[in-house]
Amino acid sequence: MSTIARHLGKGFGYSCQAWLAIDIADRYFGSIYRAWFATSLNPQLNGSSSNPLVLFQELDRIVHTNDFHHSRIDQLRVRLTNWIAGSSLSAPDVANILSEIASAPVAAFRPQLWKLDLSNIHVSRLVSLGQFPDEYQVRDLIPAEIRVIVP
Amino acid sequence: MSPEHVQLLALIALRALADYDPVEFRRSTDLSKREIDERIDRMLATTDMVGVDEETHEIRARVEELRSVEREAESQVELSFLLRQLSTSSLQRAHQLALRYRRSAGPRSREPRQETAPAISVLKSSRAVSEVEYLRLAVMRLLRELPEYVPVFEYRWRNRFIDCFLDPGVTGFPPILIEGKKQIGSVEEAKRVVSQLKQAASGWGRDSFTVVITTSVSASVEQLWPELSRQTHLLIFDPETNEFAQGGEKFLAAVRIKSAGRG
Repeated sequence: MSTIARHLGKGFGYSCQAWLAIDIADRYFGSIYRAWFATSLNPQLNGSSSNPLVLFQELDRIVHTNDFHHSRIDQLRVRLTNWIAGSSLSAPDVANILSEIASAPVAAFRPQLWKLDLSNIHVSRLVSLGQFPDEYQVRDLIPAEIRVIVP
Repeated sequence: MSPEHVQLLALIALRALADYDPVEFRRSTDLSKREIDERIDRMLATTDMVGVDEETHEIRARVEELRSVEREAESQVELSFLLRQLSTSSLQRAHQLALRYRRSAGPRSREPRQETAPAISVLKSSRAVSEVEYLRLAVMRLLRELPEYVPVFEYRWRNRFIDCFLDPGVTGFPPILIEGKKQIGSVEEAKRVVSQLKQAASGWGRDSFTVVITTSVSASVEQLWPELSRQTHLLIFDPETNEFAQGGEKFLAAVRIKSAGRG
């Protein structure tokens, strides 16, 4: 009983990621991604920020309309900042990334949809976030474990 | 103004988040509240932070405010409200100073990321892990150290299937062929697996690597392996700990050496 798939009884996880988060992970964290996921694409009982499909649609529309002041963009800036603040990066790197987050255009938050094969991931790497019924996190995904289904 | 000021403000915001929104805090970081407090205290004690500049005063005042709110708030509602205000304002100030820092500072070279060596555990007795499952976990574990490769499971080559082919793409790295055998209990079994792999690898020439991944081998197989095959690496994977108990480091070193030679 070693994989997430066995423990959750579900084969796949779905996640929506903003391009800026992926890019920061590529440049500063050796392409190791910290990603939440749900085991269905449209989990009805999750909040909209934890529903991959809803979040994708929302971000897609925000980017297309260049809605700079949308609260979702502000929320993502805060989340990215908190992630960087709690990382092991040096102070100069933190400062540089925070300035990047603060000044990023709306297009930098364009969404990607990921599919994770949960039978490839050891259960010890699973974190249950607990806020919504179908929301989990893996903090050290590598590119081989991710399939980008909507780039 | 220094980048440490930016980092401290962001840490203060994160620390406040830990109390008013624990779920979001867990989503953001692996650090505990205590670890963040220690980081803040350590940074405040460094030389740069004992100066008299405006930003240092401000940060010390925010830290004091954080601690006094936690001590003196009379209800959870009051605590959450005040901490949220502090977190938001600290974050905004961090962004402001970061933008100022970037405008004033020249380009900086990024410090190398600290790599932690994976722990190699002692092999435990086998559990009911399916044949496919342990191999996938083992391959994914390898790929953490070999991000240049793309895995293809059940790779068809001519008239046979290879359990896993690690495709180096256009990187110029050597291809890697992997056969999985959950348990190898006898020398005859070992010979069969090695033979299958050698036949499959014949099309790739001397540059490719051949690997057998297993979760346990008999003592005789382990002892005789160098005689059974000088070229094929034997990796023993522990699916409980998700680490290689044996052979992993040596194999990875061999791949890097060969890759460096080709580069």
